[in-house]
Amino acid sequence: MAHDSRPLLGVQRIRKVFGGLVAVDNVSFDVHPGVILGLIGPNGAGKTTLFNVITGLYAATSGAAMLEGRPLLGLTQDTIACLGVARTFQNLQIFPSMSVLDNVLTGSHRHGYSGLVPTVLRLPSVRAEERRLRAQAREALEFVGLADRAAVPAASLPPGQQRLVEIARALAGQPRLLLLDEPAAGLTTRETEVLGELIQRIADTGLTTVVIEHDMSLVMEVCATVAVLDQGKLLAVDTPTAIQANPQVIAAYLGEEGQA
Amino acid sequence: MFSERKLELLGFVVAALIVAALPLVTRSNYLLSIGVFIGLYSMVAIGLGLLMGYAGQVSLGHAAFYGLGAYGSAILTLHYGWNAWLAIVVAAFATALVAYLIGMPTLKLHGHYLAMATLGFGIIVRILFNEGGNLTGGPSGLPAIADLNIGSFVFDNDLRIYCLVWPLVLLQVVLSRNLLRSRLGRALRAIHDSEIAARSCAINTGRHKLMVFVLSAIYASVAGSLYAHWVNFVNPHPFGFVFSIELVVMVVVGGGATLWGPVIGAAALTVIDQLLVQLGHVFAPAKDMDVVLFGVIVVLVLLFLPQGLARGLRRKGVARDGA
Repeated sequence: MAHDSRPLLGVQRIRKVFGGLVAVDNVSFDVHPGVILGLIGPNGAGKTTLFNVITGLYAATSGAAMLEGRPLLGLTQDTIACLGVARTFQNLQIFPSMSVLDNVLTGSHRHGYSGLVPTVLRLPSVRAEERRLRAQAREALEFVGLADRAAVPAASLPPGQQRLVEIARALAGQPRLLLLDEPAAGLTTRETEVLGELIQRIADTGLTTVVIEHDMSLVMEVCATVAVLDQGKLLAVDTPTAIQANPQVIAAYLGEEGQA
Repeated sequence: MFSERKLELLGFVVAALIVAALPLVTRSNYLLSIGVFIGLYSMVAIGLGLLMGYAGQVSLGHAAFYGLGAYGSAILTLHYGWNAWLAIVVAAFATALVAYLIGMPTLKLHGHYLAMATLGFGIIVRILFNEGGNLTGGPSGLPAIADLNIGSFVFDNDLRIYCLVWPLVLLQVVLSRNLLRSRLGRALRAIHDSEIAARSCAINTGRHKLMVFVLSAIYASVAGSLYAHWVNFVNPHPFGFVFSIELVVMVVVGGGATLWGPVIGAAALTVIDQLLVQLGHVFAPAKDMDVVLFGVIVVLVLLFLPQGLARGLRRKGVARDGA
């Protein structure tokens, strides 16, 4: 595909080995600004591992990840997040002891700067910052449709809505790159539909997004580009239609699961 | 939430009334001195509560920070003739620096390395106090530390010290509340809930833990300085490992992740300790039962009120509110 812009995220020959297992094997692809890329593949294909390498949770064995030309690998998780890489987790990682609003507010951490002393004294600058962050968080909550649940303890929400809290938390940081790790996992059909519509709206805002997903109809519907991983290797990067017709992909992935 | 805020304000008013009531109902120096001790221990426990309840780290050396404040004030005023208030501030800064140097390498690591480092640190500091020669006065300590004063008003009795210490405790509670309701406080709670998710929200977990640890050391140092100027005497004895453990017990009993938990814990343990001392006058072995009894209390609290007394009491209050 032709893109005149430089990639927002460049994944360059990333390799990750656990002991004797090659989880990610020399994977390279680009994600261009404003594109929503679906990352698919059978279980154990290395999709989540790749996310964990890009976000600094795991150290890569070799390779590089560039965010707007700036190398990410070797930086700590929080530094990478601070640069504007937000993510959600396959196994929900909300903050259970906090309210929905506080969860989402935490996502905007990188937009605050108040130190300890002004904070404990609650100086006017701190109050102003708090107001600004709250506005950002409320906007994110409204975007995912949870504005009316702001004061509720996050742990009391059903899993489908906790997923939305996680997405709102990621959006509240106003990231440059959003990584969604199986957002539809554990959701009902109805919830998955709502999620698909939400991801579509995220795409419409122009936020560059990579989404790992097993729900093929969701991927085919919202993603402009699809990358297929199998046993750590990149099989293909193409449009959804081309991916569905790719015999290699059908053999490795779609064939195995049958339906699609 | 509105009801939560009201409850918070109510708690503060009740606490302030209790604090104000003690000197009105009694002029007994014994009871007032217990009040002062509870206040000083609360100052240390509030910081330790932030560390344990929010940063999820344990310090087994907070008695040493308390001791550094006490000895810092004693040495700077006695040997160098400094103004006592200036000595308190400088001792607190020095203690903060020490805490920073201990916390910086250990809090980057996962697991309870801080507990191990502070355990060793506490023992070393105690030895330094003991072997410090003329500087620390050795095992017999430093006598004749001056009273604090503001102009001609001298904090020379238990009542006056009480009236100095408790407003500071209440101030600390307000500062803690401000902290917890801020971006930094959310970051701390996030770290407590899920470190991985916290880091994915751009939170530098190590730096935030270090911040709380240093703050808790400053609180302990100031409390220690006030102690030294109150009793006018320091020796190594009160600053050992046992007191560090007692501080941890106060936080566990009262509840670390609450505003008032550490204060309630400090009060509960100090009162129990004094009851045992009184009982010891009639029944000698009771005096040495404190460690056993504290152990039993910790086990009971962990079994029945794992989040501490304050959370347990509050939960009842909220339930009644809703009914």
